[in-house]
Amino acid sequence: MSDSAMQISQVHPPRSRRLLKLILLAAAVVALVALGGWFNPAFLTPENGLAILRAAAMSGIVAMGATFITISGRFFSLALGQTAMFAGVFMAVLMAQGLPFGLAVAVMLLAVVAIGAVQGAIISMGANPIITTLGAGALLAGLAGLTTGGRNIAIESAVVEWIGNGRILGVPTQTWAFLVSVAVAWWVINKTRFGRETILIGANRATAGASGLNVSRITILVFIIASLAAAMMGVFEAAQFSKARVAGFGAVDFDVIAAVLIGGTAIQGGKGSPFRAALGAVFIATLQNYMLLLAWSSGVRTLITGAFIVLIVAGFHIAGRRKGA
Amino acid sequence: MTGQGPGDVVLEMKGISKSFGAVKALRGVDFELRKGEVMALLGENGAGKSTLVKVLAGLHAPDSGETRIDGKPFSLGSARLSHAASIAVAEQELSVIGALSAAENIFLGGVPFRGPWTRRRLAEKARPYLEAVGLHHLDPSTRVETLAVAERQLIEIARLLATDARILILDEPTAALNDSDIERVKAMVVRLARAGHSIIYVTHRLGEVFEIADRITTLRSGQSSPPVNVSDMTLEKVIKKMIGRPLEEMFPHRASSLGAIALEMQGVTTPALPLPQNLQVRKGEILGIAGQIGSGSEALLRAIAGADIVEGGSIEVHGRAFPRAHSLPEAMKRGVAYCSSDRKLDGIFAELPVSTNIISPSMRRVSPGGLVNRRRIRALTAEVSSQMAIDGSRAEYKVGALSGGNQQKVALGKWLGIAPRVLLVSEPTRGVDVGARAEIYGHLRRLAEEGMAIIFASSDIDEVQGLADRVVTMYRGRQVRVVDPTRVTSHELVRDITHPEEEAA
Repeated sequence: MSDSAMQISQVHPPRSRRLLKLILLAAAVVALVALGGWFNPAFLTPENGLAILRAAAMSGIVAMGATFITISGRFFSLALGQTAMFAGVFMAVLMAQGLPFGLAVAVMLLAVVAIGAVQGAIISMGANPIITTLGAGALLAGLAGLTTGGRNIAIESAVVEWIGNGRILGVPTQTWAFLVSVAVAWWVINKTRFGRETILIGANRATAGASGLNVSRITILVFIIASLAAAMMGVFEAAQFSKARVAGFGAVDFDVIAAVLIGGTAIQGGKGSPFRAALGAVFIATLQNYMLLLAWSSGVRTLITGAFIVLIVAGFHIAGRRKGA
Repeated sequence: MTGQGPGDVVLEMKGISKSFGAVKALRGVDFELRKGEVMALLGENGAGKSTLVKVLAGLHAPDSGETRIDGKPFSLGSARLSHAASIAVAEQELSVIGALSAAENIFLGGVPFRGPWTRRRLAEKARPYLEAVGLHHLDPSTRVETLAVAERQLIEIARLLATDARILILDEPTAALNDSDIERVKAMVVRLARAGHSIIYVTHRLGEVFEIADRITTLRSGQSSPPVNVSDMTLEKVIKKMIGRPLEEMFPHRASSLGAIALEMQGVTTPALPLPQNLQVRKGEILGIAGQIGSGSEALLRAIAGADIVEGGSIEVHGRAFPRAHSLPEAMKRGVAYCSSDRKLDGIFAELPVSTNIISPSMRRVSPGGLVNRRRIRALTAEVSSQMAIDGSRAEYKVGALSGGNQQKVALGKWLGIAPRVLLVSEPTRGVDVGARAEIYGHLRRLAEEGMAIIFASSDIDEVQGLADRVVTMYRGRQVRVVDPTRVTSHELVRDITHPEEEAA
């Protein structure tokens, strides 16, 4: 029996496949960058690189939270863009009332936790996550529209100004936040009990429940995490121009879902990697930046982005099936 | 219809074999069916009944053997071919669609007329089929989900008739029905046979066989015995035909000594078990609960495990009472583990590795302070693997890729991590081949000897009689009696769980 115990650490068939996905994705990003530089030297400047990373950071941060939802077997949320918008607006409204930045953020985060918890609770009672989050998103959009009358709200604060445009070691704050959230998401999924339980409820909810896991609690936490990630993006977005905007968050959910799927996270749950979702976000941002430099129209850009998503996701699916087991 | 007289052989099968990997489900089965007869197809779980039904339905292609329809060679192998052979099957699970009307359900296979589709035309076409199954009163446009289970079952059969099939296969049509509904289904089967249909009737309720069947074909371990006339048989003889292989090597020895009372339940009721249930099991004892699907044997385990809501009564483990309406995690905390009967549904994570499956009920143990500890995971996986003889080199393989026996060992073994005092197992060897069965029985006995109290529910009489130290028989939500399995015959047990009334007479 001792020899069989020894073998456990030696045989790791699934790991090689996970690595393959990562390498494929990284290769895609590198190829895109190389090709881009070849045809357009302006693309390869450090300044443009940072711009790409900053753009990737916005949907990337949210994608870190959204990965939890997908891994837990609840597909995705269609409320994250509106949650980001709501967070920015709510913070700006509170600051306009005279609250200091720290307090405004704290109150806003409490509200966002509640927003996530309520969605998670409703979904854990058996509601469809897509419909629930679609409704929640509309609710938040309506609420923000009602309080602001549809107007952007200016924020006057040096701290906020710095958060939006500051740099540490020459790298924008958003990019730092992105890197930190990737590390945290990776650590939570792989190293904590909560992360493992998230994978378990995504792999088979009934078995997870029958094994004594508190499925509702995990589901609620997952939606809280995703909402907090969205709120973080909302703060950065508002801080960048020192005003909270009510419009312009329509494409967030699409970019986030695309990043998660390109990262090879199984839409049915139980499998996925925040790290690869982050690479997915970088890939999309690189692609879009390049097409922007080429001054292609937004229709063409969307078309090509869509085509890449279908191609990569279908590629993962076929590769996964051929390997079997 | 072809111009045959009653009694002509319409279907003849010779030497039908079918294997799934190493498992030989059918080994040279012979079968015949005459015009206008009801042929009962009997056998234990795993004897090959459902495989034979699926071969006839065209869902499995036989590996070898020949089939004749009306005396002419015919090759089965697809649903379309079965349809051409005029064979229609009503599966065990109802497949009517609740949101559609009765008429629409009957013609799911295709609209029975050309030209525009209207509700009224469809209803007109459906009416004769509804009448044929005794649903004269039913409006064909009634939505099926508003009907009683028996009526849905009858509609399922009406659908078979609408395919114009002459050979009808009914796979346990009465399994989910109550007594009065069963009468309706039985009456209809007899009527259909008189009208010239040939019927293969699969059932676990042996009483029905004597009421409606003309002949019986028995399967055992994938082999058939020649058909016999019902009039020549008795219940005892039928049971003897179904059971009867050497069981001694299969099962471990019985408990030599029993400890203190490990679990005691008194007057427990749940939504699935309206009658109060009492039960007692001692340390070191294996208690078997024999009962068919729906008899309440599994519901009894679910009540203890906290998987179903307990409405009344009390449950004590090692002298400590459970709180009212306890949950599954609560039962686990008190040392109760429950291995369900349907491992694919809620027993394993098929897509995840063996090691992850094994640690799933013991997350706290392997992640002190909320952080996953690889060393502990490896240690627990190794410990459980060695206890259950799971190949350690497969710790990182997906459980879904393992054989049924190994899957079951994982589904059972994962509970060892919480060191249960009471282990509840529903259908411990469903979908497990013979060799792995003996192994699992051995593991259960060893766990009992190490001080666990084990309760298992099973519809397999051999298993109950061979493994248990004490047996409770259940029939329709009540405990028939508690017996010493070494002092009763297996057909007494079968009678208890299929037909307890007869015994009293």
